Amino acid sequence: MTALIGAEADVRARGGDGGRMLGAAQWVAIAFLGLLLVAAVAPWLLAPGDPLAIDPGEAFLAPQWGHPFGTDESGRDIYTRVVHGAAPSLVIGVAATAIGIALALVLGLAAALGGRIVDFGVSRLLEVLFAFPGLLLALLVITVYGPGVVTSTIAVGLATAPGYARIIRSQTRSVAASPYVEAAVVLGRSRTRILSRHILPNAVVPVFVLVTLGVGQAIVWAAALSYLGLGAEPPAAEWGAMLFAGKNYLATAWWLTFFPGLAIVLSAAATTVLGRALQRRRPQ
Amino acid sequence: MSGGDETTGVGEVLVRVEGLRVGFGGGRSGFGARSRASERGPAVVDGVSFEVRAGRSLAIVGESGSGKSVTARALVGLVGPGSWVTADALEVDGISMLGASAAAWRRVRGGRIGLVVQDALVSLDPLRPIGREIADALRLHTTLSEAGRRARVEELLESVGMPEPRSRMRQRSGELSGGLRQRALIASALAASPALLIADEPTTALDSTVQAQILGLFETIKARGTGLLFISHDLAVVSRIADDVLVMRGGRVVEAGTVEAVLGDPRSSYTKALLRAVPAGVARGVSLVARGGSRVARGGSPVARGGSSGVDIPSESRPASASPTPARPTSASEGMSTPLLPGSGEARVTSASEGMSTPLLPGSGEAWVLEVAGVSKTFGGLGGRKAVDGVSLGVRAGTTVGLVGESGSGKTTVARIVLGLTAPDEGSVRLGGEAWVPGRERDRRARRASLGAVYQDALSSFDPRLTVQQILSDALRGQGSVEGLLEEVGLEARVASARPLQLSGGQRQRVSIARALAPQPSVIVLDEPVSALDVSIQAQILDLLDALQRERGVAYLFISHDLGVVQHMSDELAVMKDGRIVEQGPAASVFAAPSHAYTRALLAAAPVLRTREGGALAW
Repeated sequence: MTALIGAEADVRARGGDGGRMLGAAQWVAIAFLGLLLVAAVAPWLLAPGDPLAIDPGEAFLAPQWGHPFGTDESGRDIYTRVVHGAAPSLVIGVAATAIGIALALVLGLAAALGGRIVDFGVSRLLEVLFAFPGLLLALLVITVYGPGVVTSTIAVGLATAPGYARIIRSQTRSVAASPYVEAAVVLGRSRTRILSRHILPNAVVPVFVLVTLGVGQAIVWAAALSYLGLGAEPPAAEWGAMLFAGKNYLATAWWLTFFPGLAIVLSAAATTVLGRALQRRRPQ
Repeated sequence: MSGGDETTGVGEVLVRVEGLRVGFGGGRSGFGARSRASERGPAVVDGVSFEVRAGRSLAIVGESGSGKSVTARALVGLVGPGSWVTADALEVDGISMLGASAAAWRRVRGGRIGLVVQDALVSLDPLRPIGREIADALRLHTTLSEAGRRARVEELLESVGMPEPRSRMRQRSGELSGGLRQRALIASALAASPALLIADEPTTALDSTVQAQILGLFETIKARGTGLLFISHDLAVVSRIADDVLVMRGGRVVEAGTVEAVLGDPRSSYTKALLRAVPAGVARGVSLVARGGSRVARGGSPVARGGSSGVDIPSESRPASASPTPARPTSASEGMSTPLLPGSGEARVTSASEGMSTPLLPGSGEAWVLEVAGVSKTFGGLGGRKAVDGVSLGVRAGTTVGLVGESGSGKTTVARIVLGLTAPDEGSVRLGGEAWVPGRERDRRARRASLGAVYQDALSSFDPRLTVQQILSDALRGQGSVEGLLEEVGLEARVASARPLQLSGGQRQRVSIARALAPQPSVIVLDEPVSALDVSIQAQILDLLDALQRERGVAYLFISHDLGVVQHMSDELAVMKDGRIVEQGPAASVFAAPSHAYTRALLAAAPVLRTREGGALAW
């Protein structure tokens, strides 16, 4: 007779099962981001109205039929405004991340491959930038160059660059010291060839996974700047600006701030969930 | 001896296993699906039966994936999460452990059965002194007082041959050498006087001289009446330590019996193939895969068997690949007059070659493809460690120079200097008669084609993003076809579309060799090219290298810690110790009459298949 020995139990698959990474949360995130993309590219499909059209007679309506998210102090439909606010928020988020990554690539690669002096200089610069909280750095840029959507985008981009630059630097250094780069040297490859064929792809591609995480963060920061009145300004249909405009009515009309706030939280959460899934998919 | 139940008499059955089956997991289907017993994964150990008696040793032999380690772990209830274990019988000390509780297993582990694993560094807590580690085992399994435990720890360390046990017990594992660390681990496994000691590849990570000492220790432990279950892939080690042998393949027992019967007169074709694959003592140029007078054939078995076990041994029905040809004459005769050293009368040639005749100068009829002259390298600046100290050697066209030494002897640094990856502090290297090192990389680049390299860890030497096709066409630079190259190293063309990660260890090393061959080099530096491979795969790779050398006339600088492999592959031999070459000369004469004490010690320590000493064997 065959008997069972010991603990058979815990049959959960061990870690590193690379294949099926997309669970329910990931699918929800993808669906939400898809919706967000539609809202950004073709907002009239989801909300045919004009986000700036005022109707003083309909001010401060609570969420109801016809105005699912309610209306604001000027009677503008909040649902329409939230949908139309996707484009500026996403553009700011993506553009800021792009600026941050571009700057980080220059700094990170220079530090990793430029020799000891360049590395020393860049590393110290990054450490100084790290000493400031990111948002403070962004505020500094805005103080110097004045408020506005473009400056706040650049400011957020600059503020995120040091983090990316550090990752790119260490990633590039470890790839440059890897046995396969050495094998390419032994095969007589030139420096530029090794850089373009082996080092860049292996060092930079993993960073783009981080970008998905970064976009969510950049959206939050851009909204924060708008909320402070330093980015997009009311009555523009931008989530941060809507929060700014609605904060005076927080006690009486919660829906003015709740729905744009929800949009920010969900966008950030969706990109983060997706970014994490991508990160786990990559070995190492 | 205190604290022990030393009641087990010799011959008493300590562990009896019948029909052991172990497997992992089951099909996980979709969300949160729990696999039940009915949907178990396939068995990785399938119907294994054996018993271990007091004072005797059973060795389980097999290659990676054979299930030998899992079998051993099943005996201590430590197969791991997601596993299932069944057996018709599983008795420890006559008590059935079928369905035993976790607490019952804990009493068995350490108490009745001690476990020694391969890597002592990770098995011992790096932050605690070894004495405390061993005392812990005593606290759990004995009723000794604090002072009693300390005395017992000292006694244990002494019994495993730890020098100065009193001061050593205060050291942490990181402060000990590999051999001492393994002794400490054995001491902690022996702490509660277990009746049975399970040792899973306990000497694999050790240098051969240290390995010999540890094996001696196991023999002593066995002589004291402890049963030994020894897991190993190394037949030579097994032939020294085992009374009984169990050969496993793919989770099943292929052959079992006494060591004399199994290794001396193997019945199964698999055991025979394993024994044939051992390179030690096999003459230069004789195929390891298809031995019996036939020459090395290139093929081997090209395709991995679905990544299952990695065992690639051709079946016996395979016809001998080439007509019998006498093995290529080794350098014994021709080599005597032509010592290894390129430069004349250089310093530091040791007696072996010095005494024989005047060394030949480059250009005096011999084609030196690689000449290393007095290179030294110190790491860590002033007062640092001298990794390489005045090493000189030369490689002639189409021949193999073996560079042998234990870990830390500086062999890999020599390889890196030759490859122009590490600049030497002193000395020079000439490639094809022209200056090579020191020099600027820019000047070397054009001539890199004539120097290839094969690394121990093939996988990490490949860009993980590239396919085999891309890797090889990069190396070829349009000079020849990838298919032709793959065929030459015995791989099928469809391997080209795979990434190295998807290949077996042997296939990877073949791709690595193909890459090194691609630019038509005159010499290839091979740094431990087969150390990470199973013995049967190792045999195929060695055969391949031999065949390629004959066809292409390429020279090898073959670096290895394994004397058997080096002996089989080399025309000439250089023995390294502490950064210096202590002996060099024709391989056959160095092996036949080693002149340096260290070479003799290495040779004495190298585990040799006992049965082979008896002379001709049936197979």
